[in-house]
Amino acid sequence: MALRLSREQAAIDLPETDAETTVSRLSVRQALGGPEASTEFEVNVNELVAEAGDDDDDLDDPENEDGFYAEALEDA
Amino acid sequence: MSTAAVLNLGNVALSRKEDFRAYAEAPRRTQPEGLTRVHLRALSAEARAEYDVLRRGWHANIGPIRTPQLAELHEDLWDIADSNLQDGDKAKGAVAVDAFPGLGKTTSVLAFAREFHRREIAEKSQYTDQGNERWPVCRVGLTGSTGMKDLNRSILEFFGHPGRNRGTTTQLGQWALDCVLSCEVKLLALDDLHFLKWNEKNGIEVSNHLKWIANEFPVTLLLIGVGLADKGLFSEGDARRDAALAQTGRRTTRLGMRPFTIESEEGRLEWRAMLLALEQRVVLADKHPGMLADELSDYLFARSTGHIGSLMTLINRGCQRAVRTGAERLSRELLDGVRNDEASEAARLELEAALEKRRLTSRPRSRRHGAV
Repeated sequence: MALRLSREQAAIDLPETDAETTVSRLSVRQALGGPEASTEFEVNVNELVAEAGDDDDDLDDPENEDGFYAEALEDA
Repeated sequence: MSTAAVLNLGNVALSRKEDFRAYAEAPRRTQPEGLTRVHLRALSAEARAEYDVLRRGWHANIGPIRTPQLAELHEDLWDIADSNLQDGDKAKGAVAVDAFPGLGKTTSVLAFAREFHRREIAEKSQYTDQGNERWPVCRVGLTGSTGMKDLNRSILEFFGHPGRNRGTTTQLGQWALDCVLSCEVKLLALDDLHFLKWNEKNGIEVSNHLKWIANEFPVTLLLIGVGLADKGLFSEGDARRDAALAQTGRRTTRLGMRPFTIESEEGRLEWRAMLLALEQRVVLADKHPGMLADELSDYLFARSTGHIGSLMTLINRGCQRAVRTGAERLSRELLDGVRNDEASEAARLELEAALEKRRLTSRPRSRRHGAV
């Protein structure tokens, strides 16, 4: 019984790797907005994909490209 | 281009005046025409080789792009440079661009220096009233373990001064001052200032030397480097010993540069605008709207950690590979095979894991459907 429980326990509580749990590098903390980065800004990736819809077909029309790049940054 | 190469202190081409002018006054590159695969196949071998040469040169020189970070820095630099019109008896404010590597410090400052050079030449002509060449900008790139004498010499190297290989530190400094006065230099940019010998003793020496330049040279002193604050450049000086540092700190305005971040919608929109700009400039047969800004947004953010230097390197190398292999588009599969700078590679896995765990994305929530 104890052996079986220990096996179940091991199967449930897989250890997390460092890469999954720690943000140790300064550049990564900065990129994420610092260690206090709020969940307020978290965005569900799946939600974004759903929001995007099926409008990608419009991209085949070259006339739409100017509008697509309207927000692109300019040269310095 | 300059032919003199007696010294190797400024191991950047722009550390010589003729090279700097060539950079500052050169017309912008023209983006090669985008061709489809059908058109590519129709080219002769010679024409295809010529087209690919054009694309290699273009992709290696994309930018500089007017990012929000660059625009903010330029606004501050114009404020400071234009307000430094005091007579010679008054000290002018100095400015230090102090930020981590890979954030575009040198690129941004060079873009500013180019515009400053052009404006001054356009307004005041190429020659001074005394008939000397006008050099509005003197830009010096320092090399490792530069001392005060080397710094003076590298200023003379910019002007091609014949006495740059002999003389004492003081003499070289005086000749440098002569050049600056004769050529009516208004902006003296010292890049990679962290290369200066900056130990306990020399910290005071460096600070005093910079103070001397700021006092005697009628210029806006523009210092660029990494960790300048840690070296005590802006120290307020709370003891008599480092009171000398305090004067430099009081006269120097510190400007930083920030990486792209994605924790806010504003940050994500900035990132997307950057990727759209790059996407517009990529010349590959199978490029399509959204190739970078939509399909590779998170991937590119993880690979660059929002550092523009790492992003530009990755895009450049990716485009070279896409042309060379015939892939003619940028994809995750292609970019996975492209090595980037070590700092980005080291941070990549950590950031990818953090993005996934926190369910973060670099793509803006308010992305317009109609335009996509």
